[in-house]
Amino acid sequence: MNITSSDLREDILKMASIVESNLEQALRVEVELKDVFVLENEINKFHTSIDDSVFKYIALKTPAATDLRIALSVMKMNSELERIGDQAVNIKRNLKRIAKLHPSIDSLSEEVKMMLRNSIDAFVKHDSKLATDVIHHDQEVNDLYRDIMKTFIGQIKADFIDFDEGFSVIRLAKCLERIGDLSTNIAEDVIFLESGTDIRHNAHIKFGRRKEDQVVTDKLKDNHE
Amino acid sequence: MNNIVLSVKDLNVWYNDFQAVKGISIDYPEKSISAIIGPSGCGKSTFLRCLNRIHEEVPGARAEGEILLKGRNILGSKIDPVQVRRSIGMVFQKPNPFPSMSILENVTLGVRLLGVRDKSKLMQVAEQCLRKAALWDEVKDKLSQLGTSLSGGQQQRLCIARALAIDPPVLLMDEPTSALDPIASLKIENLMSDLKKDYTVIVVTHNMQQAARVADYTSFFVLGELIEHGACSDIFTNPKEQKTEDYITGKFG
Repeated sequence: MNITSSDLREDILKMASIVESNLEQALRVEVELKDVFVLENEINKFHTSIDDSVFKYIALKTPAATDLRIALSVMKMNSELERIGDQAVNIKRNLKRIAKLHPSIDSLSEEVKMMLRNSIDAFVKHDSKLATDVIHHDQEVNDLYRDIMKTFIGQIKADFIDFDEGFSVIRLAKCLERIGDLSTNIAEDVIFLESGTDIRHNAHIKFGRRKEDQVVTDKLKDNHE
Repeated sequence: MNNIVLSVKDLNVWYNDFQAVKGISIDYPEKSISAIIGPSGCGKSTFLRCLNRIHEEVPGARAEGEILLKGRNILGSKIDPVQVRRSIGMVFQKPNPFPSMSILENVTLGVRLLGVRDKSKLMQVAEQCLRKAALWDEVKDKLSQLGTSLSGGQQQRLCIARALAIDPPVLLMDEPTSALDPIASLKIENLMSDLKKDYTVIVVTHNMQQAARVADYTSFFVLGELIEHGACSDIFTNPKEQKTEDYITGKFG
């Protein structure tokens, strides 16, 4: 068995591409739940096989330095992507319960799709700066989600909208917001992979607004020096 | 699994009264790398040496059982050990180029002993084998220099090239990298992976990570007995025997 770190990178990219397609499909009204499940099954297969490859790669190749970080990052990204796949199914379920599309959901969807795409691009291009952008962008997605929740709770209370409709919109928005969080986790994995720096649970590094994007890049530079 | 090229059946080996190998049976698939690991004195080198009957050079050594090379028992009394060694080459722990011979003479020795005299043919064999041993680019301009003038890692690759010259289907390696630095060892490991395309390689190693990295199958020996044999992806992730688990995790041996 000759697994290389490049094989792991390729496998996770194939999985990411299916996860992106699945999210895209889930958000299209005309696509049926069963079609989303077909891709979800593919994602689940990748989830198992990538974890197995990483397990064997670590056991057989005893990787060090970058190769070890690739193995760990791929394993973590694998879990995040699988969860995004699950969220796509939830999105489809909630979308089926909604009678009409709401522009605020469209905006949130676009933002979240962009976060996911950029987190994967950051991985492909070894781009910590782009990963940092994704992390910062999560704040905007959270704000959008809060706005949607506030608006629709208000509409339900005022009887402007049917409860089931409003509740489904809120749940759908929550699924999208979770995908934002999971994309942020991927971006954090990319930063760990590229620099060896673990920035999770560190609001000062992640969200310090000193010249926005400069913060994480500075921190990474400090660590390298 | 590929075709079995070498099949060892119930092999027992003694040095006078001492039994070094106890009833070991293993099948070796064609074009694969198999490693033998185990603590010192477990019989792994003795086992390997029996596979091309080099053990017979040790006074008092005696082997019983069967070693079938493509179905033919090479331990048979009518089999010439020299013929066996033409089919099953060996590379030793310490690089051992013939000290009085040039690089070219070292590589072509085997074919010259087989009667090949044509210079262009010898040159062709030398280039082919040195390329297979990933040494050609480093020595092509100094083929007439002594083999011993090369670095340790290069000398070991020269010995591999020499073993390949008579095109044996099976290549035995007895701790081929234990005398080399990590970079030279890595070159030999990469070379082993390349050789797998054409040859069946059986390697004894003290370095478990090396076995895990390069081999397809691993056998674990203790006190002359085979404790476990299987695919590396199983042995190094989920061994069946507690003794194997203890050895590969450094708790025993």
